[in-house]
Amino acid sequence: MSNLPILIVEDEPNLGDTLLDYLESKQYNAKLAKTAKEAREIFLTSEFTPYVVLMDIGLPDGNGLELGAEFRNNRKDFVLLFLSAQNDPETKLQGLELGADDYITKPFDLRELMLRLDRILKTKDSFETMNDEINIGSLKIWFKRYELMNGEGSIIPISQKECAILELLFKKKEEVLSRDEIISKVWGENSFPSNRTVDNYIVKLRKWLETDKDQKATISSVRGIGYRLEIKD
Amino acid sequence: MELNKTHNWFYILTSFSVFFILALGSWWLYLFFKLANKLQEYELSAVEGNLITMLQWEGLTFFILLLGLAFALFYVFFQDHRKTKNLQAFFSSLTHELKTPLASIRLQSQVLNDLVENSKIDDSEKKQLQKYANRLQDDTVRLENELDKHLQLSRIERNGPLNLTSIELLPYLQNETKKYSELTFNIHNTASDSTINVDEFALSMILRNLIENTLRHTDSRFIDIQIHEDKDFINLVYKDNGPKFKGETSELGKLFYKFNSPKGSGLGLYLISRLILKMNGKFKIHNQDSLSFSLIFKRGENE
Repeated sequence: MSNLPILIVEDEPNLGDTLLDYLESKQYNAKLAKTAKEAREIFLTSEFTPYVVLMDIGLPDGNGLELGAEFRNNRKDFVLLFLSAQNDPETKLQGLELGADDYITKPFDLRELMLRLDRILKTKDSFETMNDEINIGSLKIWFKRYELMNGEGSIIPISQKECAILELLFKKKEEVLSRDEIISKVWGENSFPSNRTVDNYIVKLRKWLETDKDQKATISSVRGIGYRLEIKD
Repeated sequence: MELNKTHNWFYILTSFSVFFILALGSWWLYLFFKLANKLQEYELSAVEGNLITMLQWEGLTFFILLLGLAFALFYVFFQDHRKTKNLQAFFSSLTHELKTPLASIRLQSQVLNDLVENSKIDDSEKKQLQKYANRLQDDTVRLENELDKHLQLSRIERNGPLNLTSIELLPYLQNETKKYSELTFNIHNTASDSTINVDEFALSMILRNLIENTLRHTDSRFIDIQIHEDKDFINLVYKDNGPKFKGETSELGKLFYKFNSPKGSGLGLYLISRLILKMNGKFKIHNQDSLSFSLIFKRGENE
């Protein structure tokens, strides 16, 4: 399968240990932290650089939301997934606003989690095939770092989904990409975001493209179908 | 009857009663003192020596009693209110505490199933082990559904918000109904765009509750679902082709209402109606040849 480094932050021993055993049996390079302190030690100081962090919220010595935000401030190039029994919309929203890529509520379906990890792995592999730095006029893209540079020279962190949509458009530049294709490739087949959700992501990317004075690249709408990234030579 | 509304009405009623009792008491006290003064003016005090003092004391005692009664009424009301809030918080935290071990059991049964699948044991033994692992999973899902109902109830009664997002109803339904292999779904869609504005968790709970009711209360295994559009709304009609409901249809959807059935918690339809209302939609129950449910959702925004 893969050697994807995963950090599990879970204080419930049975749940954490079982998840660790299972991920290891599937060839993932997983580590388990049972407290916020342990998680900090692994994430910030050890040589282990997790690409995915599965974070519980209620930890004995801290709050997973705050810990996730701390990790995100430290590094942008990892996927943060919250795994929590708290399924109230406020906490979910708070988690996503703090820079999480997804929020999975307990009890979760193992197959669903594996599908998500599989999709994350595919996106990562796809980013690996891209150049480290891509220049479009005064704009820059660093897919592996989940960062963009706008026309004014500011570095902007982007989410995994924004990055995946941009990569999809970039790989198929000058071709029309339907909204359904974007949904199925970025969200997966068991998610049902509306076309409007895709449109919102496109609006954000367009705003970033517009910061380039020369307007070297544009995302045009193809009515009733989807979008096309056009880059001038 | 909704718990929150009951409390609001009770609060208004208590305040009104206390205000009315105190106003009446004050008026009576005022009359007592006024009468006492008049008796003094007419120099009747010599005839009825202790009458004025008695009237003043009785008036004051009566007023103090009324104050005590008002205080007791407020005290009982706030105690009850606090108790209800504590109970809701208790059920919410208990449910939450139960979810983590439940997640652990579910995870372990799924891992067990996976291990059995990839093991080299003979097929009959494999099937038997998988059967038990699957039963364990089914039971955790059932328990999870029940816990979700209690969590949602407690959240709704505390006026907790929902997270409304745009969701495509048709593919969502097609995917969700696949999970019930024992049922046959006939989904008929006439809406050109089935995007609705809902909370995804609430929508899944609504669908689960309807299907659970079908499995629990009918022998029917054929479910018709129709989706059609009506201006700013998307209407979903769920009909399970079960028997006609013999009870009072208007009672269906009320909290803890269970007609002649020892099964269920009496929460399912109540939660559906409350959740749909919170998502700016409507919920209607029809009882003709069999029960059918109209779920009217607000359209989601789309380009």
